[in-house]
Amino acid sequence: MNPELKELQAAFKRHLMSGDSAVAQHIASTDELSNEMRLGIYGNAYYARLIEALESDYEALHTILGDDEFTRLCRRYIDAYPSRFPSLRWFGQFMSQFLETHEPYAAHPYLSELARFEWTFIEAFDAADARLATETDAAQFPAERWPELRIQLHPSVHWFPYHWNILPVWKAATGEGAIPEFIQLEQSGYCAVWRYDLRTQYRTLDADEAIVMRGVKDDFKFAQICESLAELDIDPAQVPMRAAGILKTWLAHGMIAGFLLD
Amino acid sequence: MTHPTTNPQSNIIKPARQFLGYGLGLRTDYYETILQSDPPVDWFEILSENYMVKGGKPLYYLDAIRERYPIVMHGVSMSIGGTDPLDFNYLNDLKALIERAQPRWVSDHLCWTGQGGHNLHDLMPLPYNDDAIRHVADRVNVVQEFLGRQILLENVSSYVSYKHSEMSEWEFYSRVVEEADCLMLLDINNIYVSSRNHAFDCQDYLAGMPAERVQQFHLAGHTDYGHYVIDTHDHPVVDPVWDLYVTALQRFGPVSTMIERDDRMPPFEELVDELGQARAIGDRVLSDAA
Repeated sequence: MNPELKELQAAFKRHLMSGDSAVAQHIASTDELSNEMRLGIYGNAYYARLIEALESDYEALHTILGDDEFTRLCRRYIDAYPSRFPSLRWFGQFMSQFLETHEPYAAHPYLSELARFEWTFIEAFDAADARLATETDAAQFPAERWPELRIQLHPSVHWFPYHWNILPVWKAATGEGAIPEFIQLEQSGYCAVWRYDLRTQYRTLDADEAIVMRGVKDDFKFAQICESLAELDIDPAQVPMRAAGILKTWLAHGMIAGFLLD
Repeated sequence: MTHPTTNPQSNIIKPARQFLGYGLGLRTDYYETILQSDPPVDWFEILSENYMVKGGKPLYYLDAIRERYPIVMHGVSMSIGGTDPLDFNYLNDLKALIERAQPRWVSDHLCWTGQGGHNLHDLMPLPYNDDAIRHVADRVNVVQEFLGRQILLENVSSYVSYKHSEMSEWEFYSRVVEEADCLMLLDINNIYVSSRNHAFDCQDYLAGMPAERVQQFHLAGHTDYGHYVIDTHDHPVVDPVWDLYVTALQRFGPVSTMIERDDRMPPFEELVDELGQARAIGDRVLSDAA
């Protein structure tokens, strides 16, 4: 039988992804190497390559789960989210979602949170470039125009809430020192991840910073951001200075790309 | 050296056969070393997909290194032998990268890499028959028209052969590039690896190549398991591959040569030394031939 090319490729893919053996009838054996062994080379390589990519993306998750459990997780992930991407760069992007929705991992929500943190570094690493704004850029707008200003973050800036002590866990798991137990925090925190001078960075955001970040991400004007800050117990007269101080910190950290007036 | 020509029937630029000398794969481990030490490497080959990103380190170093060295682009995901429709999102990204990197030429592999929307991230072999030749040639034509340039196709290492293949790999490869009017990136190590896995004679392979279409050589290491050999790019080039390289130079003359290394990365100096070995062989063989 001479199968159509499409049929042959579909059968080969099914073999790699689900072990279907229909393709074996089309493969020639030799005395030295049977067709099962020949197909096995591709089968092993399929999983090995994808697992290697996930190991590189999720170093802390790998350390915490250990080799065996991490490999089990990877195989399940690979089967649930086979790659649809031209590059392995994007393959691991659903890991946090997978952990959140599949047992036994879903019973340990810190795993999903840790995976999201690790993936955010990848997103920041090769996000679009942009010129960084400076304090001089900010100073060119007269005080009376500031209420209308919108703040443009560097394209690499991501932020997210976290509910577990994932930061010290990640730090220990990717560096040295004892890895702390996962603990649920009494109060949720916020973290920003971005790229500065080609290196990915992260920092926790104070409550006021998180409110400003949310406003900036929602494309609020400076005046609206200040109104949001009123949620906190701050002297209203101090609010604009507080917001400006936060923006100054972000400028120094290379998180802001520009200021815009409509 | 001849000048680039344009096919009167289309706008496809055909790169002139250029001997760029001896190159290495551009890998992240070596970015800073390359910029700081100005190593004796004539050109670099980038893996296209690694630079199809929006910004950050990969593009920063690509821009910096391409100012100092000629660049060629080498892709792994075109799936030119695939039966899914050609992925024009991918081809658009590739075209944008070509604009940015200004490579001397662009290559991918004579294989398929996915099916049904899934990417297997492997270089899967094709059956060697007339249907596959027509199928690939048609797709190469579309790609070359879209990119406005001839591409190079590389022979892959393979571990299976199909019962319904009707010809040798080298006849298939030659007929594809002739029918598609594209060029060849001849991977000397892959010829060796496949010859061990399928028991053919490497000399027959080289003798079967259309010399005028060979634009680039790859050299690399592999892992030898005795009964079979896997193309792992994690060891130095072995003696039988160096021997085959000598034969290839004798047959094809000066062809731009690079060493691929993708795993168990050694200090950069070791790769430069290994490249020096290729250069010494090239100098000797090509001066003997002159």
